[in-house]
Amino acid sequence: MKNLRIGVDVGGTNTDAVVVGPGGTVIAEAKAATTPDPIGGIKAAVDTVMDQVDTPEALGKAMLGTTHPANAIIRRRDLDKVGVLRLAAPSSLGVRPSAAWPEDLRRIVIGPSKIVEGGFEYDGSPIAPLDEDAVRRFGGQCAGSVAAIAVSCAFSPAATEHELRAAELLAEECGTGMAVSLSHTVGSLGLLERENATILNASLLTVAKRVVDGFRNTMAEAGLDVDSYLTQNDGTLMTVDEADRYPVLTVGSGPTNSMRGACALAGLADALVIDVGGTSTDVGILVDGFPRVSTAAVEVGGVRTNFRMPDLISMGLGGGTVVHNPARGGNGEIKVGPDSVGYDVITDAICMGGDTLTLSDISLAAGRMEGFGERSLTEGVEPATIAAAIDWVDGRIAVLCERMKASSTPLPLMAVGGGAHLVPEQIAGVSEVLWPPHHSVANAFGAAIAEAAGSVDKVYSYDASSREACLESAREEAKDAAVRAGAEEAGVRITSVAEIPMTYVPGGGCRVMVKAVGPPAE
Amino acid sequence: MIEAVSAPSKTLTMKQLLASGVLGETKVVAGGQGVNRAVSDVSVTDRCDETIPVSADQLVVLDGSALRPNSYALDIVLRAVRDGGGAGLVVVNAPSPAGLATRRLAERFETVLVESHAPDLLAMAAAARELLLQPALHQAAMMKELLRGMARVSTVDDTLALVGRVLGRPCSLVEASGAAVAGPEHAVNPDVLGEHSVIHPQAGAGGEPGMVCPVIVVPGEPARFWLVCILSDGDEAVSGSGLDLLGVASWAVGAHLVRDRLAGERDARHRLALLNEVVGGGELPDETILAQMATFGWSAAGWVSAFHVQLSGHVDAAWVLVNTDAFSDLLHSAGLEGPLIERTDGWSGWVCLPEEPDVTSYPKMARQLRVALDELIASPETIAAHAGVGRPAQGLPGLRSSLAESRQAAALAGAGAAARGAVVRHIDELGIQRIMLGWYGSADFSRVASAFLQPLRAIDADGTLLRTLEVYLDCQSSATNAAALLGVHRNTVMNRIDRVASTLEVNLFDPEQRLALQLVVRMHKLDSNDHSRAL
Amino acid sequence: MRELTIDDIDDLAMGATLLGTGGGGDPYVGKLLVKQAIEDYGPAQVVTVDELPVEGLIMTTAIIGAPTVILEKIPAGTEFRSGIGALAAYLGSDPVALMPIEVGGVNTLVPIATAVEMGVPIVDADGMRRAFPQIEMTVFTLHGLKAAPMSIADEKGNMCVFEANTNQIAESLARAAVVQLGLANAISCYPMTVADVRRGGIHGSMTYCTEVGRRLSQVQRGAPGAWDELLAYTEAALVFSGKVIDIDRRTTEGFARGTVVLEHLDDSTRTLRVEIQNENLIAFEDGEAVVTVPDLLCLLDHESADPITTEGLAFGQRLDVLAMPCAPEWHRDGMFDLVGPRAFGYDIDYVDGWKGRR
Repeated sequence: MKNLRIGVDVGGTNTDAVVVGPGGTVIAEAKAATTPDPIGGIKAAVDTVMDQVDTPEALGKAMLGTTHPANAIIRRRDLDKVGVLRLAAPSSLGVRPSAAWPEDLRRIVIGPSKIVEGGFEYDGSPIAPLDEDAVRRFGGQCAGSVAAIAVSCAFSPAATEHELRAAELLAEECGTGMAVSLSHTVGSLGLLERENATILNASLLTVAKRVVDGFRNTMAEAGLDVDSYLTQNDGTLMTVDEADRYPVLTVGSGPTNSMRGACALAGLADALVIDVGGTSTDVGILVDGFPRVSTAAVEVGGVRTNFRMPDLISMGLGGGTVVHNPARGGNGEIKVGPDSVGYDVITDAICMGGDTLTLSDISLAAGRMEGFGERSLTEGVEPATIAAAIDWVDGRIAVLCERMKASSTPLPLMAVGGGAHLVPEQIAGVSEVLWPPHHSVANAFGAAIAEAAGSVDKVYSYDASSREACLESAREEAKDAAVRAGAEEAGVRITSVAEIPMTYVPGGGCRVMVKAVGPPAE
Repeated sequence: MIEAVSAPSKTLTMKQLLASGVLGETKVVAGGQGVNRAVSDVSVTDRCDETIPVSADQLVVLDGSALRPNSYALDIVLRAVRDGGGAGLVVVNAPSPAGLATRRLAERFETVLVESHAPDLLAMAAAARELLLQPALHQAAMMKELLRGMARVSTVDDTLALVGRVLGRPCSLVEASGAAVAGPEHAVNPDVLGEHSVIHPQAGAGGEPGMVCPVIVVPGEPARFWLVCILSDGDEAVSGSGLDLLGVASWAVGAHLVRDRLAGERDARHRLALLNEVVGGGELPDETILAQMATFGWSAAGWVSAFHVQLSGHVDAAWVLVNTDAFSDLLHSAGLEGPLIERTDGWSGWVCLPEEPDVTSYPKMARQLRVALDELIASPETIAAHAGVGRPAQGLPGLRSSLAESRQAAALAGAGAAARGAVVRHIDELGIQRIMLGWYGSADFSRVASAFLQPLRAIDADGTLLRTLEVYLDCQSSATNAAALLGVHRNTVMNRIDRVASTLEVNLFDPEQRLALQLVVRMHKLDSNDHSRAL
Repeated sequence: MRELTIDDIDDLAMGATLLGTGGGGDPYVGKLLVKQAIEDYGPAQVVTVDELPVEGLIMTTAIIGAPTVILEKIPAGTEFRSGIGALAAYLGSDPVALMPIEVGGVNTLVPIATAVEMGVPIVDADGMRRAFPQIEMTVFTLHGLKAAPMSIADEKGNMCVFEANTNQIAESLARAAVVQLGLANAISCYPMTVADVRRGGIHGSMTYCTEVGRRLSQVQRGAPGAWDELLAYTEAALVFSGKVIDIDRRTTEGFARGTVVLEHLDDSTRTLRVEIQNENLIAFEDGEAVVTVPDLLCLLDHESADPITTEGLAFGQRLDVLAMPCAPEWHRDGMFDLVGPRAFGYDIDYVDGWKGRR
């Protein structure tokens, strides 16, 4: 019986591994330092954790959560140059590809760009026949000058033919060695945002391949015969083969795994999650086991995309946040943040012998934190200052939770992160505050429990066939996509259905977004 | 004048209207705080603007069939209902349920918002209006039936039966204790019996709601009787009109009571006059007296044994009159069969026996009398009684002497009466005590006794010291026994006796002084009883 | 004449989002169109009507279609020029300048891009100084100025020019054409002389929009006093601060209708109902309208002061509700019939009790 799974999370400092048994029980956990390549760290963590497992042959699946591609974009490192082809002319000529990109990133990533005739109208009819010659010519221009080509096309989420045909033509022109990313595989409606995502995806292929191959090899070298997966932004899985091709879909997986892992460790499917770091605090919400996703455009490295990222609200509140104007004479009028000493809190905070009053000092003095710094060093802080700062913290956290919540029903709150001690025990609208135990491996655990998913984002005409029929068709398509992604058919369920009515369209046009998920098939 | 100070409005509440079913299959979607509001009328509209007329307590029925989903228009109607003091809003046949904004507004306005579906909106509204007017129509019908019926009834019992029939619920006449004087027995909480007509949620002794209406027998006199109709929980709808009906009925009952009382008093006066003839043996020859006695159904044949009952406490001639029948029944139940004649302070009566009774039967008659008296004075705790029984003797002269003896025995019984329960003495068991009768009957001694006790009464407003003295003397100067009887500590008794002795300047260890003091105390007690029955 | 800078365009786009009152199309695409046009053709020139010859022809251009379609079918730029060209040919005269019909939403920016491409100036005026869903809803209509002759064009060279008796008919014809032409098209209507615009337009609206956007950006950056400055400049009032507790979206008759319910942040018994038809139209509290069209009803994120579009509304958002007076040019005969609450199917009167409040 291959009923064990291993989850690996590559973080900024640590690489964690956790082995999970049936029912989500943690069998073993391990931690190693993250290495720059990051394979060394993965190998170390996997070896350590597998040493604790008596039946390594029962390991059937390996899940990797990594922020490596995301960091590549943010740090502008190891990115490939990409040829950008848009199939939409004569429409869309008013805004060229990479129009709103940060200049430094554009310089590194953007190669030849071209808008050629092709693409579709909202009703699926072509805007223009695909200009195959232009595609070939573009391929010729790219061959040898770029590592990958990103192809986008108007309404390709609903009609894929032109993108698929363009991929064939480019393969003919550039050979199969040229990687081609197609926009319908990485994004949803919104041509410019989808195009951006496709370009980022193409530029990450080499980086991703290194990580994915490294992960696969690590498993093989450890003598583990497993199916390998990566986790995506939405907390679901893709196979390593897909990850090879769609690395951009992993860029938001960090917070997702963290939220899902922490809640699953506490046995919760619906909860608020607050991650208090050194400088900032993020609050997200888990609904039915998955993070609620943002409706607003998401920027990745300064580039606008339409990824469905966890809906997080951030605020400048952390363990290193500086408390200004501590009251002398005790009127309690203070100003907190927004600046922070960040990770220097371990040297600069008053309780560590420094001279900056931080929220960590306040937390220690107020008795919320233990085991950090020297409490006696904070004795000089006025009680009024402590009270005012605590009031500020509690007020801000309450507002964050309130904003995140979708209903007035009280939800539990998971407090994670290095500054979690700042979270009060009682918050209005929160049923209970939990500081989860195995939190150090929450990300890896989140990766290990990830599920396979499929989604649909299409425009339907409710007048042509009834709304129910359209929704049913979308649901079926999403379920099929989930099964194709590796989900066990019996366990697939619809996790979200969103409808956006289209104005001016008399035929009852409606954009429908459906997502289905299920546990990976054994 | 019936003052309906506590009577509720005669209209239905929203809750009752909803429960009635006339509004169809309803759902209160918001503003449930307002369901106890009274509804006076129903109006129907299909307009959704702020100018729709709404009057106070009016229920607005809105034809919602043309409403758009989640329409703002409902907010505007809600506001019009709130501003006009309306009772609520029923939205009928709306294609979709009210939106959250509307529901929240209804909550904020505390205005009931109801959704309903009905095939014919106007018919529904008409049915609702009819139901709302029903209490008034129903009351008018009941009042008519009552007035017609009252022309045909002539007794309190018949009047109560009539009211009970009209109201559909039994109706009783009760006295201040809450006991039924006429009509069906139902324990009533005496606290609800006041000067005004009320609907009291706990009129029944068992906590049942009920209507209470005082019966004015003599204007200006405090009420002594009340009409009471116990309700069940679902009767709120009729209670308003019911109270008015009771008010009308109370006049009839009051009139019957006055008439009965006058008749009873007249009869009693006749009986008393005859009794005086019997006792006095005046001008009329015995034959004439016997003939007159026969008209009352009295007899003095065979051996006659008389008794005399004296009441004390909150009692008057009217009370005696009213309770004569009840006492008569009690005597009958106790096995004493014979005439009973009302006196201002009690009754006289006798039984006739064919054979001379055995002396051993005397205590039996005293016991029977006590049983009846105890029963009579059981409920009004403010009334005490003592009685005497005369020896059996033959014929009219025998009746005369037995009556005299019974009065003597009663007087002596009164002197030694206990705090609770009736004391009944047979003349035969008194023996030497009869010597005291002369003393007790002496007005001079009464004055001396009163003057002698004056210093003690001055410091003994509640009579504690006097009562302690009496018990102490009766207990043969045993402080221990007296303390047990009085329920206080022996030292307390001793302290009080010391105070009495010093106040009255008597030496209780001197037998002479002790005897005199005991006589004085007895005399005073007799006097007090006399004062209380002075009318 | 003044030149628009790149900073101006960012402020203009920000202002256009606010004046779009939740609808009007996302100015983001418009901003990219303008930036590319300036990159390719040079800077944009803004003029007032006084700088133009009285007999000169002023033409407008705008995107007409479905916002969700425009997300996929980014304008080519050519459709606007060909639409103007077709109408100019029909009229037998070329424009001396272009002008936005609505300063509010994406169409604030589109004509700037076209003007830059055509090498003509853009007039600092418009017909709405906010966004409205229908062509006839302009102050031009109140002045008896005709929307027709007008043209609809797509990026493929399809176009039509038509006459219409009334501006309402012009709207229906345009709508019918757009459905056939892919739901993301160029419209050019209200061709007017400079004298007409001088008489019947809203003047300074581009400048107004830029200034509003600049002040709003300052609010977002947390500049001291910026909020008061924004309220003072726009004569706006903060009528409610609340949390979204209900969003009810539905499409009827081609409009995205919706109702949003806010619960007051300080008094949870108070709720505000915001009625939406593409734009935020009317706010009701306690069963009474508190703000109505044609005044502007803007929803801003309570913390970040980001203008929230109708699509961007989400449960639990904390919003500030701002009422801003419409351009004074609206206040003349016929306003209520054309753009008052009843024009949108709400059987209530225009209210302005909020004015002068802060």
